[in-house]
Amino acid sequence: MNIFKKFFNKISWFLYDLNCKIFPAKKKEVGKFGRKKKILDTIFVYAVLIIPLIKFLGFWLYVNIEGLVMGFQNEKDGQIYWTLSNYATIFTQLIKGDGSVWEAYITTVKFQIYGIVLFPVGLFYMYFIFKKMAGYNFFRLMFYLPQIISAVVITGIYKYLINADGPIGILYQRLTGADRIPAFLAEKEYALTFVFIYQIWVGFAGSLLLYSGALARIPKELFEQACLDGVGWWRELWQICVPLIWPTLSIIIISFASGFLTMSGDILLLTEGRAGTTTLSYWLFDQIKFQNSYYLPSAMGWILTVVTFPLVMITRKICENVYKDVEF
Amino acid sequence: MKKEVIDRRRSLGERIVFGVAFAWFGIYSLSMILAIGWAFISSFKGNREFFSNPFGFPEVWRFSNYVEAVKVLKYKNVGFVGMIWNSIWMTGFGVVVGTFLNALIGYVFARFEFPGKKLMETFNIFIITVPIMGGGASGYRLQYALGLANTPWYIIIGAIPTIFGMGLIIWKASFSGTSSSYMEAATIDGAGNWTIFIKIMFPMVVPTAVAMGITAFIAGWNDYMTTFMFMDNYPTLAAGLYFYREELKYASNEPLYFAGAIISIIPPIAIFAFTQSQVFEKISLGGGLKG
Repeated sequence: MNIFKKFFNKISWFLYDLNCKIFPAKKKEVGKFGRKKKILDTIFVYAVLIIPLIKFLGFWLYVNIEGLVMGFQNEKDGQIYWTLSNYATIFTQLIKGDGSVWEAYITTVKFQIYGIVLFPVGLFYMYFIFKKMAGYNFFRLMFYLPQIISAVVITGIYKYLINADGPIGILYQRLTGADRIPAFLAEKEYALTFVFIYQIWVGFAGSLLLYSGALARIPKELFEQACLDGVGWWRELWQICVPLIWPTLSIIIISFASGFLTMSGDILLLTEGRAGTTTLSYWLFDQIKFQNSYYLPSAMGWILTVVTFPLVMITRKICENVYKDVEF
Repeated sequence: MKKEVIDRRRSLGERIVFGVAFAWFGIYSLSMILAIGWAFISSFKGNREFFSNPFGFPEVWRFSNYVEAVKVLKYKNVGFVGMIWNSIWMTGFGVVVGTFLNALIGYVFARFEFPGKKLMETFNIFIITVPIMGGGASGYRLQYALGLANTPWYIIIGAIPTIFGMGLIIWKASFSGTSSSYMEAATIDGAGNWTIFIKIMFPMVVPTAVAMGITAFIAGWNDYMTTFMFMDNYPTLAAGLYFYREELKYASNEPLYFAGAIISIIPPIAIFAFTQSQVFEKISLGGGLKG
């Protein structure tokens, strides 16, 4: 009998809890904070949101749905017709392993790997700046400089620096003893590496701003306590800083996973996609802007979206379980 | 800014590590300074000298290059000054209107309950994590089809936020960090919602607004993609520099290009150097994706 009583008890509490969750107790509305205010509040909220919402519906929802539709269309002599050829082209290339789509795909994967490998390095940079090491103000400005200066200017400078007459070219010759200095950005062997070197040279600052904001939120007492407990810098970084800024870090990690980051700007400026430096996002850009092709990139865009979705969900799940979320 | 350093003696190991970091950062900074310094020096050379002696000091310091640059750098009949003006208004409008509206939207999400809020917040997380890329071509066509591209309307409509995005997370976090007692006190005193926002709540998040505004302004100042894709008739300074090189290819006068480039990087560097402390450590994502 006891068992039944316990079981019945459990069920009733479960149902009660469920009831409370579905129909939560409402706060009593009183005076100035009563019904009239609620209505005024709702009007205010919708007045604020209505135009952005319209813009969203037009420039995001409609645009993406049209993009989906366009993936199944093509145009000939001004006539639009339905076809699966866009998807066929893309899949054939990916399966056969050749064609511009395939190359763009491989390049993108390489970029992602480099990015992931370099991610922890960014953490070190951020940590030392945060600890206000000697000259941190100046270094912070230096790291951020590439974000402040136009990419047009920096790529312009970079291209000359790696020229045959440039310091990098001469260094290369001295180190390898080659009889000629290659045109690094024009030759397939080197182009991608040098685009990537450029990325490393200018790339750290982007997340620096968010990291510094996240680190600033950590209560100082924690660091004082850690100091008193004799915690060294390595532990402080990996056991205090990283877990406590994990929400911010995971957003950045997830953006990596949804990868295919837009680097089309830099690639346009450095190589215009030549010599094997076209990534998928540059390929999309090139199709739309230079090839005036709209249907194939629409199909590709949706394939990318569908493929990234599970990747992102998995990464999110992993990130959520790495460190427990803490309120502070 | 006071140095909030916990006074402790670092162990030898730590000092070595910090020393290595210092050296490494120093090398990096040097590379930046040298790169920009080189551009600066090159801007004073003659074109032929630039190619024959790219990495030495100029024989003759041609300050006139800067004057020439202002005269020569053009794109589609828009001169240097015109390009600066484009950079200013296109960026400025977007920054001021965009920051204000984004803040307003974040405020609404942080401080009000309304039907559809949970749905929108979930959707926001979805949008941030899963980039939907199928709309690129369609969006590009739409701007031209609606006649927005190549007109100031593109900028005006562009400045309106679409609610969803990182901005929502940042602003919502910002307003959530403020105290609601001010809001309640103001309501009791009879203030309406708009008054509360403009006179009380927005002023409380001015640090975030300034930080976002500065970053947005600098990004906008350096933007060439907008001109490239949508605003061909309104080149910004950055776009002008790009097109100068692109159009003239081998006939371009490189020192002139660098002179223009140096002029273009002065405003953002100056703004940033003076407002550095207002930008760093002021933007936070709060509790991250969980809100």
